[in-house]
Amino acid sequence: MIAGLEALRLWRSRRPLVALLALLCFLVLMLVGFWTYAESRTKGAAQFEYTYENRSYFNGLTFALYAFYFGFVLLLPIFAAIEGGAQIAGDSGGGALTLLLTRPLSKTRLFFVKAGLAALFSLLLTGMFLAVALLIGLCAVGWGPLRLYPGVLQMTDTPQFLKRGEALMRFALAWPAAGLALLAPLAFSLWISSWAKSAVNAVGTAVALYLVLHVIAEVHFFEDLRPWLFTSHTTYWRGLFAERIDLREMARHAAALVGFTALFLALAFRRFRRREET
Amino acid sequence: MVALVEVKRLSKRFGARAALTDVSFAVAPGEIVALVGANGSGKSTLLRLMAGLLRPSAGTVSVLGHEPFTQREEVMRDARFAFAPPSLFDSLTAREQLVRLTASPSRSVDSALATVGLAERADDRVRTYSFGMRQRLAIAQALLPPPRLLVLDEPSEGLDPAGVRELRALLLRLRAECGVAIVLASHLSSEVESLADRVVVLDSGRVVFAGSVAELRAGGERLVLGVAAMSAARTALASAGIVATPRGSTELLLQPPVPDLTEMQALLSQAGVELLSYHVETPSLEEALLARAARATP
Amino acid sequence: MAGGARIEAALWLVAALAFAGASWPSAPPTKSDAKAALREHGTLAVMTWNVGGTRDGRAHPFDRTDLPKVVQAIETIDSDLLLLQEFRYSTDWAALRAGLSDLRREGDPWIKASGDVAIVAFRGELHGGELTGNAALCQWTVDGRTIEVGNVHAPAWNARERRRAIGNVADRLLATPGPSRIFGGDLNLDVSQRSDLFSNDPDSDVAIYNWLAERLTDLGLKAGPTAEPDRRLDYLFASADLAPFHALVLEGFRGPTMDHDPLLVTLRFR
Repeated sequence: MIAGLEALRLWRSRRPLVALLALLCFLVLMLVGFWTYAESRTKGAAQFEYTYENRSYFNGLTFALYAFYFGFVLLLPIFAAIEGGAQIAGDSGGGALTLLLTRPLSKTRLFFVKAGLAALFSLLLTGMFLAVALLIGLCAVGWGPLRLYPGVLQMTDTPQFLKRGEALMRFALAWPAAGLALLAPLAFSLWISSWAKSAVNAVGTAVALYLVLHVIAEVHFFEDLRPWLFTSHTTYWRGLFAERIDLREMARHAAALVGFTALFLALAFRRFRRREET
Repeated sequence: MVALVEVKRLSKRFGARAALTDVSFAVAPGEIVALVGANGSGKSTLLRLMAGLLRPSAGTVSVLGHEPFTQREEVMRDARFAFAPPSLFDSLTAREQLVRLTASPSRSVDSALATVGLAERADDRVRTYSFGMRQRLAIAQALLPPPRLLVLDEPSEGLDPAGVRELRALLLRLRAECGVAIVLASHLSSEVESLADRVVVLDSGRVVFAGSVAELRAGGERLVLGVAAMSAARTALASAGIVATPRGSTELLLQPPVPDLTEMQALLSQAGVELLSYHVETPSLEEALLARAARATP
Repeated sequence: MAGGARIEAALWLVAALAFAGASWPSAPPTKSDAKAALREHGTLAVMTWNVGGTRDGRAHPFDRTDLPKVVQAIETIDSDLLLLQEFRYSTDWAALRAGLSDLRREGDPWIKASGDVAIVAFRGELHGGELTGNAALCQWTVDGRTIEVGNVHAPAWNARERRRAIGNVADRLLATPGPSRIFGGDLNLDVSQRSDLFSNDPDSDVAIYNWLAERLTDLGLKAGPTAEPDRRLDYLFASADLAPFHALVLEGFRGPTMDHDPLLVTLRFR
């Protein structure tokens, strides 16, 4: 009952549609950005300066990967935070949580249906984003082998070459890997949401904290802090685009992300069980 | 008979503010109990404590034999709550909401929608509903499936006069046919008067009265005297220690205890005042409530 | 509620186990898989590094206390071709070989050493060689191609000697047109004209540099200073058929008594 109801509410909320449209706009802007940057800055020069400038190897797969990387770091966690905020704090502010809690439905079931639905939504959004990025890459840029070089995006520290079929397989693997990585910010936002009484507060706080943690994870001054931040691990899926995947290292990051996700979920669930609806 | 709701020495604090203090009352099966009080008197807090949405600071609540905050799921199997303002899923239609929220068969849903007069708008999104229609839908969802205890917060709010009448008839029918116990928080004295078997009056989070409507009114009767010479009549009565308050130009109100009528007639006659009429007046429920509140205020 | 408490406890347990798994000690550093992939696709990583020091004031400034750090850095950076300066073959080579345990698994590296310079190949083979003074020349065959390689440690204190040392190697390297070439080392060219310390003829340095830059591509042009305080004294040049991808000065690898950072470039045949 509750899962169907919550799924219908999510669909009717138009959040999925808004998220998809936003990601689509982002992809188009990225395409224009790459195009104009390559044209205006390098005039097609072969000399390597920044990785995404060189037209000699830039193709739809490179576009999809870079666009996905930017989107994953900056956009998808925001949609995850919005979903986390909407699921508890948003329902609380609108009275929907009161309505649900006055039915014979355990808080445990309610919490995990909401968390599960938000996770599923994030996973589907990630998959759609990847698929659309690849499609735009195919139509607007054209496919070929995926070549990656060290550069500002830190996608790799040594040049990589993947044939097209192999690269597409890596994109397919990147979907669940990135989906797992997105669970940590999602669980984090659920935790914030379990304390908040309105969606705006929950989303605002979760996004602000995510950005702060993301910046700290990127700044070298905080090297010692990095292992303790979930944002240090979320881009671990980039390892899938190495010619030989370092499975051990990937498993370590994945384990850390599972740990952070379980930790935030435990905190959120604990708070949700004790939470009062005034 | 085992009480469906049993509240014992219940207190609830929000930080430093005491919302409820030492509240006790019980609701028997098939009984209609009205919670009455001014805004901020603690009615909604009490209902939320009964629904397990809030945790008591002190004292106990038992609803259908369960502690609501820790056993909310058990409580909600046979109790329905409708809070004010009505909380609904705006993006769903009325029918979708009832089917998915209550897991009731569509025949029951149709029947409930017809009962509250929403059959024609059943497939419209709730966000297009007026406040009164939302109220009706909230009541419909509280009827599915039929409960043993129904708790309603300001159920008549937003309803048109016909809707109010239909609601009252519905609640009385539920009680008569299904033995449903009803707790309703209300501002409307007419609603309380026409429905409630018992009234619990809250003032600043404390119970200042708990009993029947008749008991609430009891002791509030006044003797109304019609006299021609107002001032002479008051002087004559005052000489016998009777305080009379003028109402209009020809009426005097005598608060209880009402003196013996023959003695009073003699008293007025000696003072040359003619007694034109007399009758005993029962106070309205509003007056009785205000009087209770005034008495409770230190 | 009891069910909820059990689930919450399970979540705490999952978090604890996952964190324990994530903090399991890493495997000891090995040659990266990416490196092997590089080899498959013909990318070349070439590094030049003056591994000596000046601070201890020794006649032979290679400080033995920093040797383990140098070995560790070479193992980590894992270039295909290494141009070393202030390197003593007689004592340092054995230590380097012993330290590079991981590299040795794939066979001994090739070395051509002369004076205080050495050309070391961890991939492919080294052939021939003209080894005079602090300069070495040889052929490096890698991925079925042959590259002429020159490595010089040019004198710091005399511009004329410096020009002669560089010119000797460069002239021979560029004598015949055609073959691919890599030329580098600690050239001690102070083209920023900070002549106070190293150059007694700044015009000479600029002339040498320009002569080289007209014939070969300066790979480390934008990579930054390689030596203290902020001088670019170490160079790698390549012929036009070798396309550079990336060049950077690797900071943080040198030992406390050393005064040069390694310059690493990656190349591919056009």
